[in-house]
Amino acid sequence: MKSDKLITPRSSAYLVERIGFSTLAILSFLLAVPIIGVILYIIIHGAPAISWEFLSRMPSDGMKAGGILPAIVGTFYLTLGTAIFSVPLGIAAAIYLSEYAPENRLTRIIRIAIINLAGIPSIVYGLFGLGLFVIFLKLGTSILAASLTLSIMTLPVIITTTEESLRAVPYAFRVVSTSLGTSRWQTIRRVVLPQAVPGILTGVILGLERAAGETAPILFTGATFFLPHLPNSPLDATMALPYHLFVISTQVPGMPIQIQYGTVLVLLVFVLGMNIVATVIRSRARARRQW
Amino acid sequence: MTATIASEMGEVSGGSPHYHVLFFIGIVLFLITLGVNVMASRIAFRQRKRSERVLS
Repeated sequence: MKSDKLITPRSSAYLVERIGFSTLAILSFLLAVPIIGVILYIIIHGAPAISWEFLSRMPSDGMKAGGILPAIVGTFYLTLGTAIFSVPLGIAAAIYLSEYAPENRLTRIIRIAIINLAGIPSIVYGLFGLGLFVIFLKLGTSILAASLTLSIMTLPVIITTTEESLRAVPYAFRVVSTSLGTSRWQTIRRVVLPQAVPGILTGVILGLERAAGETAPILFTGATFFLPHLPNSPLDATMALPYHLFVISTQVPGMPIQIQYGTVLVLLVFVLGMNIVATVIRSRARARRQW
Repeated sequence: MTATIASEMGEVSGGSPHYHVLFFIGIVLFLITLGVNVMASRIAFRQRKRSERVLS
């Protein structure tokens, strides 16, 4: 109220501010339009294809009929494998970087490496995985090789978000804990980590979600065109939703459009579901937090 | 460049010159991102040093 009175005498400045703010507000609302548009479009076109048969059967008739079960299972395995490798490593690296690492040249190099890792085009990860895991370590095109490749891609996301949420825990918590005679690790384990868990979980889910949706890194390392059975060992190649989508929309002539949109919808629900879980965890933790 | 790797990798035989060229494209892509990132972090680092000097 008071500030309004102060500004109104110079009404032109006030008007300019109003115009500026409303332009910014409109622009930020416009950001949501493409997202909502994409989701609605996919749901409208994909929903008719979804049925229990579509989700639970093997593809048949050169993928033009039947379901997409192996692709769903494959994406699930790949996400799980990625989690197994990248979550412990990423959290450990983040704890070291935020709690133990001294600020020196080496730490700076590690940080640059992590930032750089996040910026590399995903196809380069695919090449790297092909060179190291598939050929050099002789894992072949397999779930294992693909998961390892995806893990490397996911690591920077997990490390940076975990580090951020560890740093967000107030310094006073550490000081008080240490003053009670605990060791550094006890402080981290009992005081800092529990406070940071929601943030870490959010980061982990966001990283895994990216891994679940990627095509390029698994293109040469673990994805296969068609598999007549479900993968039954980590050394089997697998079908995966994003790659399956790429195949059926570019390589198979006369593909029913419905199946394509149905596949997109399944992938979208998978990724969006993870995203929503992450958002819920974060907002709940924020509401409960007392600092 | 990314699309070239993706589309041609499936069709070349391992060890042929074409195969190595595709890996070379990968290196070029990597170096581009590395260069940009190092530059960006250098700018950020310099800025932080300057602000520390001003503050102290």
